[in-house]
Amino acid sequence: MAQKSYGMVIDLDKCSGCQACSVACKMENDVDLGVFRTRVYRMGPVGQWPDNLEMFFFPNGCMHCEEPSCIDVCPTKATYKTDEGVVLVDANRCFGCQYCIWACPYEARTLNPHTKVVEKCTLCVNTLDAGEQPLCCYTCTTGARVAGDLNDPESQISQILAANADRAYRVHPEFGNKPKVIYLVPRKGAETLCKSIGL
Amino acid sequence: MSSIINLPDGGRIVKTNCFECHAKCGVLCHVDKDGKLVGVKGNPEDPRSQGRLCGKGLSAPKILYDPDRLNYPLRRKEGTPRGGGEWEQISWDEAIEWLATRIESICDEYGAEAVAYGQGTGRGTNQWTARSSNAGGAVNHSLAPGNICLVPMMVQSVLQFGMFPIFDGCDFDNADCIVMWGCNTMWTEATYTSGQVGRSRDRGAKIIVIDPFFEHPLAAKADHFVNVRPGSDTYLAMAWLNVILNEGLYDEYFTKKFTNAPMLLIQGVDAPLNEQLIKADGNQQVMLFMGKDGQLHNLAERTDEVDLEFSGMVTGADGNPIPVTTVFNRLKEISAPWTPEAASEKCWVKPEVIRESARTYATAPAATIEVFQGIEEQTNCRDSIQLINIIIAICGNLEKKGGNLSMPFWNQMFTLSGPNPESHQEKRLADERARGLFNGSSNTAMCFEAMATGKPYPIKGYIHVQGNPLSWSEDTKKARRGLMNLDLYCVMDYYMSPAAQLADLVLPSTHWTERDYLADEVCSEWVFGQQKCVEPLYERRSDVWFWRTLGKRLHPDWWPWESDEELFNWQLKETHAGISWEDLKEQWIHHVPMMPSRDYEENGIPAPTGTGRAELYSVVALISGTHPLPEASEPKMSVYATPEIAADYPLTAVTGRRYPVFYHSAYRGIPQLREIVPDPQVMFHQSVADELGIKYGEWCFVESPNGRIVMKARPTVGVDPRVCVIPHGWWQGCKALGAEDYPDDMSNVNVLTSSKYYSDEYMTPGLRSTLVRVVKKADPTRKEGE
Repeated sequence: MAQKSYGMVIDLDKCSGCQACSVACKMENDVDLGVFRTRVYRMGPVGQWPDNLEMFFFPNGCMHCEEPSCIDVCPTKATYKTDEGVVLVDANRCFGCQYCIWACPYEARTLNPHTKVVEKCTLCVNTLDAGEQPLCCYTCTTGARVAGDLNDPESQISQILAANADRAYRVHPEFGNKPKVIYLVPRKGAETLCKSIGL
Repeated sequence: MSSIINLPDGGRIVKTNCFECHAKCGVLCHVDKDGKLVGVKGNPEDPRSQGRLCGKGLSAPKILYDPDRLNYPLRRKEGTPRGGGEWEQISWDEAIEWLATRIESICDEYGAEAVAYGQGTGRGTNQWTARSSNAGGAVNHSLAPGNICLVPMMVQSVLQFGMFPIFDGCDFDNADCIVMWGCNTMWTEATYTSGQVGRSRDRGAKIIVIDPFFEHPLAAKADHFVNVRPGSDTYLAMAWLNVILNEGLYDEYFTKKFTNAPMLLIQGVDAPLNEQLIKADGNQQVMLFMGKDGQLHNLAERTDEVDLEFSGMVTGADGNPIPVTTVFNRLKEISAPWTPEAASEKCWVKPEVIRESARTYATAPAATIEVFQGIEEQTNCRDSIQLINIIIAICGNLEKKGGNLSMPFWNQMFTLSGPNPESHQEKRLADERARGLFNGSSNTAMCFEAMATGKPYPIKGYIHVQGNPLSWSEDTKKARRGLMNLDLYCVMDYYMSPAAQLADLVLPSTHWTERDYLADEVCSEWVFGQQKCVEPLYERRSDVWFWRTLGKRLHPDWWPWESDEELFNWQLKETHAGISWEDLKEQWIHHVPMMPSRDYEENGIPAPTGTGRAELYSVVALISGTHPLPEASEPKMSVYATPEIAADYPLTAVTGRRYPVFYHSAYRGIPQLREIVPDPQVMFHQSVADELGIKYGEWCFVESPNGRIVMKARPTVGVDPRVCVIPHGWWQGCKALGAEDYPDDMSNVNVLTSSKYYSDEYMTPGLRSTLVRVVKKADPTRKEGE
């Protein structure tokens, strides 16, 4: 069997900005106040009222890059990548130097002001290993987020990507990080905005 | 399968329904071996929400265990001032007896009309609030915000269709075109909306968003974003009607056979031609149409062999000619002036957008329109809802798969509250501001005025559950004056809200996780056993228990039930759910029988006059003394209706902007929700901000003729430069985040709204089209009151 490669697909055409994922992550992982491992940003509106406007919602979090910038800069090797390609932080090794926060081009990491340890999305890898969806995906009110094994062509995530290949995009490809959180760009209403964030 | 799943570690999963809002998503509550609720997630077995759950529902454990919750009955200490914050803890027995005795003494001295019962949005207790009031025996004031939520769209639909298909009856999953008209259920009722809308969009369904605000989550994705001026929906709907009728886009078969479009009206008076007018022994109740055969027929005949466009003379019983025309012709006439070009002048939507959106709706094989408070909270809500219902009916989207469907609960709930007292009509508070013809309650402002002034008669007591009138009522200052003058004020709630702070008796409500109840309202085709998953904490009690227990003490003949379970069984029986509480609790979900009109070919449309035809022309309206056909009416306060006010207050404000993480004024104190929306923000166009020199995030004033509040500025390009968008419900701080309360209504939007202007029929204030201005603060770093 091929090595698993975990990732997530987020359909920006579906996301309604309801923030259920942001709250789900907080509840599931007991994330401290002031720290977000995922949250949804409103992009826009931009343009001219009333009929030349664009807007979409952008759920942000760790991109679990194939070529992450955060690992090499970590002086204690606290940030590492699992066999499934999930980027994690070992809280016992992290001492909060924040080099990784500066290195990450996706603003996906936060220093927990209480523990002085850097936090970010873990892709709830234990949940995925158990064959279930992380709560952020499970609860998504529009079904916009799906996590899973990118190497398994039968997985839901692979099938969504196959069906929407024309909309699949990895943010800021020019950085060369090869994110494994793959966005499906909106079908409508966000053309110039998407360009502005490298989508 | 049982609704409780025991886990190997001694914990359990309880299948129940969330009540962080009315959508009541099915949930799985994870309770650990010590009986503590540790997690809530959506239940995939709920056919509506399919496992999806919003941030509010996910936060239920935080809400259940929030240290700021009310836990014990509290009575204002004798000799301390109202609102002084000095309380003594008392037992429930003492609380109920104390309250009942005081209600009795007020009734003895002033009459039962001196006690008002009510709620805010309530938590499934509409019928018990009303029952308490009806049992009082004088009048059902219903001092609750039904006039701004549910009553206009429900009653207007029942008057026209005998059903309520424009809320949870929107069949998003099967629609080819979805219209969100003044609503954002993607955020507020995600249960039956978000997943379904997404799937339909994947199928290629068209989306039309009719909203003043481009930040609606579907606006950018929509095929048509219809940027209507707040409150001008009547013009837009007239223009849609104009396009649909003139371009022949209506469903001719349905219109002829299942609407009263062919009904004959006497020209000039717009009254139906009845059989008695043409035959001496005719039946006055029988209305008529002109058949294809050139003969007059009973409108109740189910046929499409009708002359939809008949106009001419018929011979009266006395032999004199009577000029008649069809309802259909009249609709053409009243919509004729409202070409898209003409309507555009008033509703600020470009003519081509009006025309194209109307065509998209009317040509879709099946299309559904959802309506909500953007339409309801207007003084012209009756006209706009009637027009929208006309559009639904003539396009054949009523009771059609993918259209607007009846949901039986709305037809079956009415008996639960019991009949109004005999003196209700005589004692109901209504005046020249609004007659409330289709809304049986008292005018909210008049109730608060009666508290403050004793006129036209005193209201001395007010008992309500789950509500904060200082937040929901228009004209907060007036509401506050009234509450301050009460002899008896009892509030049952989760939190010590600003209203509760003024009470004599504050009672702690159980959270939905702590109480057994039924989930039926807004549950479309199902009823659920909403069982508790933990035992009530402290001395919290269920709202249902409270109404039943107080009711039994005061009027045992109205409240014969010995237990909540007995009452649930009665409710299930009255609503023809076809299941007992015991069985429902065990199986959690039950599919209720659908209305006969789902098969309208066989059974017709259950309209109130019994013709089997949806009523485009409202016979009930005529009988009630108001116009039976809709009008292109202007909100009573607006840039066009009151230009003298608009000269100083040029922005048309939508008050009541929603957040996906809060429920009205609730949950600002839950830190992980508040983190997402830390501040009250007023939204207006960037050009207005530039002109006033106001920057993003700066505290600024919002003023109306009624008052002034402060909010943080959030300029946007997603709104008309003449429009302003303001959220409601801001009073609570959040200790965990160091956010302070907003005292003295400083950020309470209803300080701005008026108690002068109401819908005549529904007594609805114009909350969604209030004239305001934004003013730069001299020192923007200081909040009002600092």
